[in-house]
Amino acid sequence: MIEQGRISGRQATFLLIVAIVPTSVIFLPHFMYLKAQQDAWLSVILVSLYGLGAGLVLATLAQRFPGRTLVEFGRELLGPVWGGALGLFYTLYFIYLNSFIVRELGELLVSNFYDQTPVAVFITGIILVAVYISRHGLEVAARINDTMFIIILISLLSLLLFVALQVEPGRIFPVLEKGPLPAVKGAVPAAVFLSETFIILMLAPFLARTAKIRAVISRAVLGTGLIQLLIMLAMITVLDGLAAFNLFPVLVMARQIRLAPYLYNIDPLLILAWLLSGFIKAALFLYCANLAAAQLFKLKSFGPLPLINGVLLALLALYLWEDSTELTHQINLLAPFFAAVQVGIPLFLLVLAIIRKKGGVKNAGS
Amino acid sequence: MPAARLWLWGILLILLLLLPGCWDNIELENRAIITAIGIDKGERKKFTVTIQAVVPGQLGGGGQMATERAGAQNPVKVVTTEDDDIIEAITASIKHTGRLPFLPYMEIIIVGEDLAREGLTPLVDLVNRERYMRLRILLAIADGSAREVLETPGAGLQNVPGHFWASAIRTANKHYGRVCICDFFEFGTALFNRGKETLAPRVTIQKVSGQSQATFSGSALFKGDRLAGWLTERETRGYLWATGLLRHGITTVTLPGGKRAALEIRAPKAHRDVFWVEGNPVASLTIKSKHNLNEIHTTGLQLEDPATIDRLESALKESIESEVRAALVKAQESGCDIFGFGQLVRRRYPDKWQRLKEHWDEVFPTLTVQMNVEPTIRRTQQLGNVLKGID
Repeated sequence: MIEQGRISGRQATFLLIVAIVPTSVIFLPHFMYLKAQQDAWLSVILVSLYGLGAGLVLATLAQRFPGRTLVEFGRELLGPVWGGALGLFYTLYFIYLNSFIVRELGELLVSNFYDQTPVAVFITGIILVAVYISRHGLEVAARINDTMFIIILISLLSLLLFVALQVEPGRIFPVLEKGPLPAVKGAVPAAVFLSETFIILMLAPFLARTAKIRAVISRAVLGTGLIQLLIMLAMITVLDGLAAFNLFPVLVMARQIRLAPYLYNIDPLLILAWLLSGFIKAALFLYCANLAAAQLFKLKSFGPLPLINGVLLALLALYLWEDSTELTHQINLLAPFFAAVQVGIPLFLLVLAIIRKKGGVKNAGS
Repeated sequence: MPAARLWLWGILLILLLLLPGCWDNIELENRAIITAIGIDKGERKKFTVTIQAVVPGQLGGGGQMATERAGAQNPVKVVTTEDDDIIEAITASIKHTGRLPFLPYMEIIIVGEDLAREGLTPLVDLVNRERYMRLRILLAIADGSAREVLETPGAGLQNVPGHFWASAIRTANKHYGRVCICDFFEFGTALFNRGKETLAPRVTIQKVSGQSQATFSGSALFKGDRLAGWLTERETRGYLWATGLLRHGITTVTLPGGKRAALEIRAPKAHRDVFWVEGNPVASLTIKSKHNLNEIHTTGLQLEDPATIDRLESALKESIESEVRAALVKAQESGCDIFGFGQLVRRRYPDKWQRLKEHWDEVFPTLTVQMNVEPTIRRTQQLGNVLKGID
């Protein structure tokens, strides 16, 4: 086994939350507001329900094959050729998805703060840290995350607390002005992020108590949903229509905070939370890519894999999109693809496993 | 040397490179710190932009040196440029200042009447998009050209007119109560807010002790992003009463028989509501306020008698009502729903709003507004009865 460390259920929950929160707080609120307007907070609730459903599928699948990752049991289910193809596909998918994450963080920094700095500087910086963390394995990442999670949570919560002074609660009305359809549409772009819990399929074998995967996922989804709900409510009641135009509405919201006549511009709190969680998210996905690749090629250790994947990731993040508009356009365009890979294929594998009676039937039944 | 030690030295040496600081910094002497800009409709091109840049050397220090210098030279430089884009016009000021415009300290943008009537959307877009501009920048509308306002030297007690204008608006809004306040955040949210229009302070040039000075008097009414009319100072306070934005101020009442008293307004609260009479909306407005007696212009008022206070209160009720009515009439005449009754309908009765929203412009001017004003005079401050000689 490549990974020697073990992480507890709580650590896994924190990892999953940090894996979802940053991107869903940077880019998502704008898209959700665009589709659902003042009902975007209902979309958050809807998408959390979806996240719980998806989590159920993923947990059932992971529990059916205890001690094995997606790449390993994929091979058992589909045979060496198709199983290998699946493993390769997921290895590349982890890197591909990660390139979105890294580029988003880079674009955020460049378009709001460092307009004179090329985005490559930030992409390289983030990836170097991610390579370093992922080389040290899951347990190290989880322990770093334990510390960072608290900082991230405190920053986000204090931000919400401070912004409470600017809130105009009437802005969430009228609820369901144009029927329930906008709220459903608003949930669609968020669905991709709430099913990023699918990385549990790679992490499950390293959980200390494998039996509680379902609890890990549902706690992570509920935790993320709650954070997102609070942020969305604050955004709607503070910004209203401005959120439909600004690409980083939560940042604009943070900039409206005014605690005292000379105490304002405390948006760095938000940036801190975004950057910390972004770094960990990138490291986590890179780790998943390393692990998938190592298991695909049946390696004894990572070796140079983190670096190779890191370079590939950097190239993708730099050259896949020419500009920020293309990036955001593609995120929306590819949402169904992401959803299919993150939930569709696992669901297919689960059905296949049940039909072919593969995996620990006893475990799955209980 | 062990490898780890070598690495450490290598990293330390690389870190050394960072010590001299930023390699592409721009010194303060090469920046023009812009505190205010004025934007007008251009004559030859689309926009005429007037910037007010601070000359840092004329500001600093204290004591005699500073006063001598301030007397010697104006601490700001005003430059006017013309271009088809606002941002290019701002950049074009380099030709006249030789310095790079620095926008983050901008306090106020003043827009000329002609441009305001054509719409502020390009400007609002710029301020929201440009990362160096904060949404806290105040907006004011000049009842003429913004360039003239920017070129007026008077700066109150401050050195820089831009600071003066911003602090005049903020402080007058808070304590004087006849000046409204509007920053680009508010203006932006109001733009997307169906059923609620906004207003911004109006700037006029007045002679103040022999020197012309830009002062704020009344406000500019907007319909969407276009200027649609003006409110006087009295009407502006009527608007502030009705929307619950009034924080403090002084109001004068006249009792029958010409007895006058000035009262301080404290903590007014306003509540707007909409109900339906035969399918038509009727708005109601409740204002509750507390007052202290401040200044009496007449003898013969028996302040120790509670009945006198009651009479004062009913006079106060009338004067507040007439102020709010004045604002309401102006708003209805120009068709600007600054009170947000449409928004109220939309939020509370979304089904009815679906039918109403298309012709809200026709409904609002004839909307009946019922008013319920409840002023309470709490105390007469340090004096009981009216001061007069004791016989």
